[in-house]
Amino acid sequence: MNDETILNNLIAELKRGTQVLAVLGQLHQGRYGYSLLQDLGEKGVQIEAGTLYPLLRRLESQGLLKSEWDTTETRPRKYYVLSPLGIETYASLLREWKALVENMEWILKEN
Amino acid sequence: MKKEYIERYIYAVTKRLPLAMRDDVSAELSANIQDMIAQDPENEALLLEKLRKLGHPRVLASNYRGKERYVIGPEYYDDYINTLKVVGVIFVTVSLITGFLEAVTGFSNPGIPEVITAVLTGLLDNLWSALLTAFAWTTAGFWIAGNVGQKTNTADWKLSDLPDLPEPNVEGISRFGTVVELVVGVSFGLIFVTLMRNGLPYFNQPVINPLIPFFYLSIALDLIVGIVKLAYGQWRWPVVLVTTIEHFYGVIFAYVFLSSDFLSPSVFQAIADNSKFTFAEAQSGFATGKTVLIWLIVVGTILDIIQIAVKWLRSKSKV
Repeated sequence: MNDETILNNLIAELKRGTQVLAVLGQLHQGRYGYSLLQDLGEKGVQIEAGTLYPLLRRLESQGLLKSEWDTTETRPRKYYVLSPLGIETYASLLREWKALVENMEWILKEN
Repeated sequence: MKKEYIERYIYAVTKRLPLAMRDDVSAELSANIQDMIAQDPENEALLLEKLRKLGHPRVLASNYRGKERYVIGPEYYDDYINTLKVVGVIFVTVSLITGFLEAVTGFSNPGIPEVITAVLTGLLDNLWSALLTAFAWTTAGFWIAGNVGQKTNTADWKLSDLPDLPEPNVEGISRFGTVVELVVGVSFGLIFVTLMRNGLPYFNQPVINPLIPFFYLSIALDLIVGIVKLAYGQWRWPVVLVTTIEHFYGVIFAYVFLSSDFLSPSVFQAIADNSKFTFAEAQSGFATGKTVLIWLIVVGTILDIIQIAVKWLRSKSKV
């Protein structure tokens, strides 16, 4: 493995940890899969479509999201929103994240 | 045409998923894909680009499935490979011996070419199926251990569970090399013994026959040395011991065999008849050859024993 690949892999690992938090953070209102993908992209969170859609399903199966089919328009579209458990979990995750960021700044500052 | 590509893609993904998930994933994917190409629905290039972003159907399907599934999981892999090697060696050795015995019981009075072809074909047939069987059993065993039932609790281990240390400073023995040595040595040994038993032209059968049990003993010693080497993996004292015994035996046996009249005089006659050497010259030529060969074997074996002894003593003196 060359150096660039190693770096890219490490960067991907770093980002992967933050993906769930970012996704949950966007779902206080109901969102369609594709528009969520675009919004995240616009805000700088690069997530693959092939990763996001299965992730949404998984979060739903864990009870953190609720989904519904919107049949009001010409084609039916599925949208996801945070469940009550999801809202709680997001709040906890956010706290953890802030603590993590503080710790990281502290430890990184020493260098 | 357009719609079909989307449907075919979704089918390629969902056919790899469990039944329960298929309808739901299918509907959701369809909706998402339509969204992704909404700006230009008839554009095939756009469709391809978006589908590629979703990923190869196999990859997307495994993302939907979620948890990683292995035949042999990463935590078992190293043990699996090592077990494969050991089981493989055992199966191969057993199959070689049975193959040889099978091949040879069919004959009453075979000549050299028949014995060799029979043994080699027997060995190869058995070798391949032995390797396959070893692989199948080992893989099945590890698959069951890893995937069936609860995961073993890796947290609950005790200090006494830890394996003994290999002795430091002692030279290792290549497993693969030992296996090759064993397989080649035993098979050629068996071929040779069979030929001896069935009689070769120009060989003095009455002189050879009493020596045949000692041939078998020599093969058995080789087998033992091979097994001990595999078991210890290092030049520790048991390995040094059996190797030295085997070497001594080899030298003594070579001496006894070579200095006996194992060739019948007819061979000298044949040489005399077909060349410009006389019977007496042929006979003395062979005698000289035998002496040289004996000396070579003795010197070679002594050097080898010295080498092993040095290795062993060196390991003892290092602290």
